Amino acid sequence: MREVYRKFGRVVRYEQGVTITVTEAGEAIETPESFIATPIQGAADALVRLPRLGAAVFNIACERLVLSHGVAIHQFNDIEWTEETKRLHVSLTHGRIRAIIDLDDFDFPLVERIAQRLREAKEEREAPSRISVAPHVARAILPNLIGTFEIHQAAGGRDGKGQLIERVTQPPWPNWYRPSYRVRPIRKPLNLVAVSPNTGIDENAPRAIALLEPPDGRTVRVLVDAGSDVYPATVHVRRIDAVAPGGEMMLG
Amino acid sequence: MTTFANASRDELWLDGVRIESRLSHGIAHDGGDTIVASDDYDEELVRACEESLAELRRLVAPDARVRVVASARRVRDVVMRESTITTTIGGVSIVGSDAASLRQWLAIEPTTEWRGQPIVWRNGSAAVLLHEAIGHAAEHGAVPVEWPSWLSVRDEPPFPYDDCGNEARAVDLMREPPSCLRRESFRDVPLRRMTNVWVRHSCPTWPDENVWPTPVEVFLVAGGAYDPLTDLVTIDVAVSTAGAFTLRKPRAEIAASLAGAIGEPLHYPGVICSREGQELAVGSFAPVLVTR
Repeated sequence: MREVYRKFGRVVRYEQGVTITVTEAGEAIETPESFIATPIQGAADALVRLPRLGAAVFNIACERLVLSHGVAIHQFNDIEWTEETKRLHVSLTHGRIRAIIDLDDFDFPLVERIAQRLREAKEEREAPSRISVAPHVARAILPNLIGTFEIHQAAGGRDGKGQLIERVTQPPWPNWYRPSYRVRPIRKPLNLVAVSPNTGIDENAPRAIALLEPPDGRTVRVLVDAGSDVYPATVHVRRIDAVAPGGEMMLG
Repeated sequence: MTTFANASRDELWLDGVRIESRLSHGIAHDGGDTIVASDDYDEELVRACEESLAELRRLVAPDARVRVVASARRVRDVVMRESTITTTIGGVSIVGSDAASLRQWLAIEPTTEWRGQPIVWRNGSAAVLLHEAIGHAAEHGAVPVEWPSWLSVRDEPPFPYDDCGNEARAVDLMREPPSCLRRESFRDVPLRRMTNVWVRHSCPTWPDENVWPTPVEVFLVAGGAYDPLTDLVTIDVAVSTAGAFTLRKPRAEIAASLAGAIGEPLHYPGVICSREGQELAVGSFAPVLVTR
């Protein structure tokens, strides 16, 4: 079995105060025994651009701000598809607290809201017994909850071998993750969603609005917005009480 | 405007069989706060990589996981080459091809547990500790802490120009950040990074081991980190007389814990330094050093 994958891409990225545009194309040839990746002629003739960064002033220390917008044409054997990606990574700090925000859109108003609450953060506290988790925080935790909670693969898009991604509720995960033509694809569940029969989120419960560290298993350190108070807390995921359609989770 | 061109060939070998192979090449045109990069072909650089790779292949150990990387870059019309070979056995890696030495280190049986005892950093491993505690702290402009007067930690670039065409300059990392801007490839933004860390000392005497409990001897380090926000230094020890363990201390405590050093700097087999997702090999040399 010999599989040929080609990618023609263009990406514009902002990091470290520099805007870099990269245009490239490459081919990966994979057999059970080997993986060979080489550049090839061609490019995605696409317009990629970033939003004006004048708006990205969060009035708080910004340790890291990375934005990217990419367009790629993928070919796998006789399947061809196009993909557009946007990524926003921000690391904001207040005292010794670091909030890490990863979004798949340039949602600066959301970052500004988190920055505003982070500025008011006080000392670490014990996690509340019930807490809602913002969708972008929940997305970061979901991979670590597979096997313990009802975490499914939602349908949508194509995987690293051009196959349509269908809804899958349990292993074996049939799809392939390929972040670059230079990396051998691996099987992995994609489009993760938590599943619960309940969709009601308690709007009055404290809310986890940002990650403070990468999750460690089912334990995650988050910034908790409890209305009048904002504080860091370490949450251990024991029970998912509800999942709203947008991905917000209610933990008990 | 600076032009940076690079090419790299890398291969992954498992038990003497090549299982992965990659070629990469491209050119980046720097214009202040913008860079325009594409995967343009530079025949001379690719040929240089192929030549280096042929030499690296001869060093591949037959019963290990081995990654070989040959790269070449052109800045200010000067071609600079770099070759790296990483040998992994049992999940522990060295930068180098000496699989026999790696096996010897892996055979070291733990005789104690890590309970905060003094540490003798053998095999040049203190270079990793000070790479994190002094080198990365300098890159981030951390506030000065008091280091022993007998200690010297310098970055001494082994190439004439950095990746932005500036003359590469040796610096005292205890006083200033590295001089060189480096990038992993044409796709990356240049960052101020270490190149080749030399730890030296003028310590007149070896610390009196009789006043301490039995120290832990460290031979290989799996990784390390410096957090500029908390000023914490983390070292994940892979091979020691206390087995694998993690040391995490504030930078000032690391500085205060340095108790002495002995001998000439030894080449530590390996630092692949990752920052902002860009992996670069950094030369590492240090004498045997003691922390209490």
